[in-house]
Amino acid sequence: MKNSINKIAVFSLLILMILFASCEKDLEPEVYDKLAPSTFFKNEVDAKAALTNLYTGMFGGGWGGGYGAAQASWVVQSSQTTDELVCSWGDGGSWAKLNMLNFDDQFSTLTNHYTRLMPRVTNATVLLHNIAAVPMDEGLKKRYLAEVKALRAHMSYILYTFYGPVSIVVDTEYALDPNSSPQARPTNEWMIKQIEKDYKDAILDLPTTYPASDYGRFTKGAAMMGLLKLYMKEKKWTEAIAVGRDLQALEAQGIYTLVPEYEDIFKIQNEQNKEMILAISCDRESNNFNMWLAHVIPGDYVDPSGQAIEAWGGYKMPWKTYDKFNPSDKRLKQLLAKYPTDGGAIIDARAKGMEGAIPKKYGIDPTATNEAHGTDIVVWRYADVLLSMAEAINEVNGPTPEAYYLINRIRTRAGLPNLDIGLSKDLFSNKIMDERLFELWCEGSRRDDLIRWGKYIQRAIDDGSPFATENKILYPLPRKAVNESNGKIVQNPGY
Amino acid sequence: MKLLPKYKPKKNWLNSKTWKVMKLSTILFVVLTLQVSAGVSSQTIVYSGKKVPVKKVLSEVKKQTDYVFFYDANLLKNTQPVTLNLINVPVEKVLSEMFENTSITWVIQGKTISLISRPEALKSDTYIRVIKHISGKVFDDKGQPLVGANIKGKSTSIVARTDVDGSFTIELPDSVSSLVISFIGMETLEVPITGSPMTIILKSEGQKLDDVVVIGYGTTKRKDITGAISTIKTTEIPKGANTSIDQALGGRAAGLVVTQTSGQPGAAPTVQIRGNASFASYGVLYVVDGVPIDGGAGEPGSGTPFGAGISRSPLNFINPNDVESVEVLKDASAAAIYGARAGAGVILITTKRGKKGEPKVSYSFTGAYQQPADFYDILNKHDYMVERNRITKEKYLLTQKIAPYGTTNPSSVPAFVPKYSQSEIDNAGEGTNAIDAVTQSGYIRQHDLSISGGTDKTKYFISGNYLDQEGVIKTSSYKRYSGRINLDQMITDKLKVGVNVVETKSFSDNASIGTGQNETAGIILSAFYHPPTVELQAADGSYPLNPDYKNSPNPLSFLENTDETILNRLLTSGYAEWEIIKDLKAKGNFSYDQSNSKRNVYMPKSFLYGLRNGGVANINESNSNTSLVEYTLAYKKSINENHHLNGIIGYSYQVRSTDGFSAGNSQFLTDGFLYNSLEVGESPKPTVGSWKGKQVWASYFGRLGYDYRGKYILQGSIRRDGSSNFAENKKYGWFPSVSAGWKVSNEEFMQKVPVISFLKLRASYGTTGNSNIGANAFAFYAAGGGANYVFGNTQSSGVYQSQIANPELSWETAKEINLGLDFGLFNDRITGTFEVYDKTISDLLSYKPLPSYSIVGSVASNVGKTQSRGFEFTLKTINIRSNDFSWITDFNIAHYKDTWKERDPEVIKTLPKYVGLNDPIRALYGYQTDGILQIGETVPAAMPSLKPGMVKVKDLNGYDANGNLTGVPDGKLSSADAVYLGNADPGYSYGFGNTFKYKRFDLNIFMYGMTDRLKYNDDKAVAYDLSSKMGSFGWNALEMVKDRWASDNTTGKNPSGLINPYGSYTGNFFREKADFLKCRNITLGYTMTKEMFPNQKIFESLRLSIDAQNLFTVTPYSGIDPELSSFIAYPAQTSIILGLNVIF
Repeated sequence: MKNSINKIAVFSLLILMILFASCEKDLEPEVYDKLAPSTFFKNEVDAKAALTNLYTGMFGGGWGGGYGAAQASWVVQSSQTTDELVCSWGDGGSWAKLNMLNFDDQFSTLTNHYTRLMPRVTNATVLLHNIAAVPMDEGLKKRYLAEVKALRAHMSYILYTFYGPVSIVVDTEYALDPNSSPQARPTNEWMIKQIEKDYKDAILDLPTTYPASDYGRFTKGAAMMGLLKLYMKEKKWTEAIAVGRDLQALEAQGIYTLVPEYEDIFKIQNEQNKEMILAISCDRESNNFNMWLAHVIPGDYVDPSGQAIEAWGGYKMPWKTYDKFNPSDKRLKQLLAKYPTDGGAIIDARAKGMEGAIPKKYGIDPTATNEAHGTDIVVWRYADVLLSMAEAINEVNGPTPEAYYLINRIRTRAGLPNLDIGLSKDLFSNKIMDERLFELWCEGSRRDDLIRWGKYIQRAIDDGSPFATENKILYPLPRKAVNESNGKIVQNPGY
Repeated sequence: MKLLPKYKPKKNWLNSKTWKVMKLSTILFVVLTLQVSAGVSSQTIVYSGKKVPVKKVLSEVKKQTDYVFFYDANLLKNTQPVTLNLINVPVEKVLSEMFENTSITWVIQGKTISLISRPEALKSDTYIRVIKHISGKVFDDKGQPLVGANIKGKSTSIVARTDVDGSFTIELPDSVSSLVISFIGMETLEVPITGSPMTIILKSEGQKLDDVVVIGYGTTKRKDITGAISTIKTTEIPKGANTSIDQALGGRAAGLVVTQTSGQPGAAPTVQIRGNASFASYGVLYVVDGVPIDGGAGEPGSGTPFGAGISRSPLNFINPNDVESVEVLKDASAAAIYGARAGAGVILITTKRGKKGEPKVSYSFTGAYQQPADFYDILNKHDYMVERNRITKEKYLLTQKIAPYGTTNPSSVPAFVPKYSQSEIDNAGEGTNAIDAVTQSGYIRQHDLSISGGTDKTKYFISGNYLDQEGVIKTSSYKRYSGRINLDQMITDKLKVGVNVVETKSFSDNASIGTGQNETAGIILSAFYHPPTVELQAADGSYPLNPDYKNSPNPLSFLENTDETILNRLLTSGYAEWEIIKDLKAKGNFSYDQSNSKRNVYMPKSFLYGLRNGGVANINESNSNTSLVEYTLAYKKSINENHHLNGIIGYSYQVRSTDGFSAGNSQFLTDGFLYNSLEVGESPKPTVGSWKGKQVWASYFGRLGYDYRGKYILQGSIRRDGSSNFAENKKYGWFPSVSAGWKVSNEEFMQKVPVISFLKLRASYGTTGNSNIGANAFAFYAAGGGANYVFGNTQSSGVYQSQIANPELSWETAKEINLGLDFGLFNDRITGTFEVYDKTISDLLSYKPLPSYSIVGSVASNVGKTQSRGFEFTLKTINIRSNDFSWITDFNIAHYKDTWKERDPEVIKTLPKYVGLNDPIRALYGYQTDGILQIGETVPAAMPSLKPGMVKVKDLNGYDANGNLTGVPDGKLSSADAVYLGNADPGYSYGFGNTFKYKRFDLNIFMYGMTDRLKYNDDKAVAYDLSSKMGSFGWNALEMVKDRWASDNTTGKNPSGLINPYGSYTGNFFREKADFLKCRNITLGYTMTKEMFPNQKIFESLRLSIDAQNLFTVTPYSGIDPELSSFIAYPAQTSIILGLNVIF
């Protein structure tokens, strides 16, 4: 009996063992929504997809950073921290904080640019390495590498203008080392040189235009414009004039020019116009959509076309700023002090007690059904080249006839008379400052402009801010970046 | 189902008389052998008298013999005096002469003569039946005879009672096959008649030490348990208004915290066992009849901004009425056998199975009436106009810097023009309440039918359930059809097979609760926003919008939407158990759980979102398939009286695959198609999507138990789990446990302490593992989603590195020590359990932040160690137990604390400086608020632009140049000022129940609650954000905002509603104490039994009950419900439930 127990027990165990063993091999992970490194980054298609992802640094979806319309956008921050815009919303006082330059290290709207862009700069560095290794059409490879460099330069520039020099990763080996640790912050000079080099390298290999289906990519002109922005920021006037001339040469080639009517620049019907140097190409059923109108149009606005518009009524241009405009300026067609409501009635925003005028700027996408419009978003346009050139020339040579000519081209289009001749360099400079506001309002230029002119802090003081100290020219770094570096990365002063 | 008694000729009756004598002598014989001291009574009696009262005769008999009589005094009340003339007759003769033609009969046992009422059937002379005489004794589970227990022939009205030594005799028609024995405070027992005499043991109701308790891969007796296990008997909890069993478990077991975070029909409560100091927890593992259950097909999205906030319990597919018992495996030693998914504890659910006997048919009906327990008080039209004027005025004063916000002379600026004139306000009236317009009284109707029974070989339980619930938010409802078959069949006496099938189909109408705000606000928040000055529906049927904010849908227009979820779930399982040799059993267990959830949504043009998109239709589907194969080999052996061994080894392999599909379109010609003709939509880009995932678990396990003379119990188990989530060589982990129990009360020295009827000490140590981190140990690239970008107005797909490899990633392991004490006092009138535990989780699975410049933000990693400590106390007292009245009290309380023990140095580097390394896991950090700034008060130095009526924040700290805290205020607010505010976990959670039974009535009152609890009051925080919301957008607000601080109400205790420039620091002003005590159920029942209606042949018993659920809540919390998740949660309900339960 005992023997048979043993036999049966052993037999049963054996059966169990066989059953167990048969299942062990099934313990491999099965993932259906991701690509393993063994299958990805092998060919041209992979390179293209990786580059596409890098472009998301320019526009982080509807609510993220980049050239969007929400608080995280650097266009919006450029306006909200200057005299261009205030906001009617509460949102925990965050808009008031922006406008009063009441910055602190827990204000994630300010620190998130670092969190978003630092990894993307590293990613660009890795992509330069990876794309170079992919067997593909050499011409296309060159272009892709140039696009990566232009993007890296632009993202580095955004980091630089917000935080000053930061420890961007441009060394491939360091980028690929999983055990690398944070490095100390570089000097301004190193940072400027790095951005300049990337832009210059990119200019060499980028095309001047793309087929319509590739619209939105960095072109030669866009990289030049990026470089012009850098030189303007650094007040390197000669270099700025030089790269401005290159851009003017592109106008001569018929690549760029001014669009005859200011309002047409921002219409969906007029996308890919010749004034655009770089745009965020938008489609309302995609990740890239234009939410500007929802942010600025008041809730009781009724478009004369009858189209319902998502309208949250947030941003307003303060009356103080609005009143600087010449009432006959055609650009006011896009900046509403009065707006239509039910039954064709007109609401006077000032009389209603609103904080300012409605910075409508963009036209309506006739297919829009909610906050998402398909209208392309302006990054840079040719008018900025003309005004930058006028400024740089004035800085170097005073108000030359060329400088007058450049600014008057802009004024003429706006239906304004030419500037009085015989202005002093300073007065001319003031005119340029005003003209940049009238022309480029709410396009992301104002913060850099006021900083360059030394007026960024003063503006906030004039508006009664008790927080406007000189250190607010730079944003705080995220606390995490400081903490994780064991003292190597130093926080910006005053935070 | 009723079997009529068979009638037999009279001679059998006579025959059985002699049989009765034989039986009696058998009893005597038994009694004699048991009680040697009892002498044989052979005395005779001499007595004569005329018209003597019966009582007198009895005392005479007592005098002449040493017999004693035992009877109910009422019994003799109506007896006629007797005339006797007896010389030397035996006692039996005296009795038969005396009680001839009366309703009294007798039983002689030893020297006791019990007089009992003669069963009615025997009095009748219209027909004579075959009668059998059954006798026996009834004991309680401590071996004490039960006096006065009711013995009833099943399906008859023949009743007997036990006498002083627990004995009974009953005469029953031959056709009756079983007895029903009942006693107040004890569980009613039905036993088949196996012969006579019978020995019957009744158990106390409720958690009783002799109960069989289901444990992982087996059962044991409660008194033999060595780990921490709580049992909840579903007979003790009213389930009327609960669509799933988990909803009914709140407060029922110490250490089990069930929080009802949504009142939506079919919603899942959050269920937590003890502390939960893991970040990757699977959550509680549910095992239903041995099959680990996952959530099944998840709730598909709606494809619109309004579809979130839907909650579904994973147990919705189980009819709560089918559940026999719920076991909560709390400590690691109890749960360890379930290994990898048992880290957060295990809940074993056992459904009802057939028992040998006649078919038992049970029907119950539940009807519930429901109202929102507590809901938002919004301003009426008149008050809205007043408050909107007030906030606009306040905003005007602030903007113009007029006192108290500045020194501007009011006459120097344009005067304030109120939005509404005084006459408009005076004529406004109440208006229509938008919250009322979207709520209704709800109801539940439930029918439940079950049939169970069986023979020696076949046992079955079959049930069907229909539930129909109409929610308290309009357009929300839940309908469920559910059926179950549990079948056990002996093929041979060595081979047993069984099948369980449960199929459930449910239809839910989802109200658009949503989780969005502003223009994506759902139905509740939209009602909250809607200005009372705007009518809810115009005469032409259209839904007017708020003229100041035309993006918010009209709340009533939500009712035009169609949003339904159809869920099918079929769980089939089967087993075969083979007794290979005596004591050795092999078992195979197989299950397949398939579920499919489909959500159909249409938003028509009458709804704002639908209008703008020309009608939106979406169909989303999700599927889940889980298969399980389990083999076990169990051995049980008693070597002699002293040594008892049991053991089991097994293997389990489970695969779960999930997938889903979605499609949608918009721009429809007409709303008439709903989602049934997607192709008709003219959207330029109809949406489409699909996904799939798969998980595999493979485990080996074993357990060995040893019991020495029922005093010392040792048990050990081990499980080896494999997970596909880890790299090679890291896939498998070992999870052992040991536990021991010492039944002190079985020791001889304890016999001298009769007060203590049971005492057991136990200790356990166990480990469980966790692998719930997904396939994150491997490097992957992800496509689409946020990586896409648009070129030339066309979206291109981007690819990015989404995760980097961590070949070192391995099992998270929990080690738990549990010490327990089980006791029973005064013959188990008081029973209780006390437990303390200490659980350490090491190699926590979480994500380690990588340096800020890394392409991938974090990597799955083992990041540290946490500790949970706590205690639990459970007490049950039988306060009163008499024939007609009993009162039982249940009480439990639990406390735990989860804290950090160790953190990865890399993680520490990235932590904010205010975080303490050993803080609670769910620590709350934030800024300390300091009341409201008053007029004339010095403005805090760190808040120079603060205005009166705004919340002050304390400047406590600052950073030095190296980014370290200085410990002194730095004159500005920053993250340095954040401090530890408290623990988000409750301090204590408790449950308290009282059950009263009086004759046929039973009353149960159950309360539960939590103490030491903090909750952020979203309701209030949102309510006081008035400046733009009410001022500019014209949104309505809560009643409570009337009493805010304002220049015309400077004693207001709440903020002014103007935009605080330091608003990001002031949130804690709205954090409140959220202790609560809820009256969960008051249930009153009345049970009618067959004997009350002698002429009906339909039912066996019938119970009527009324239950009030969530009658009241005692709490200092000022929001609508301290349990609900957030301010737009579906409200909890107060329900009045009528129940009818009939057993045929």
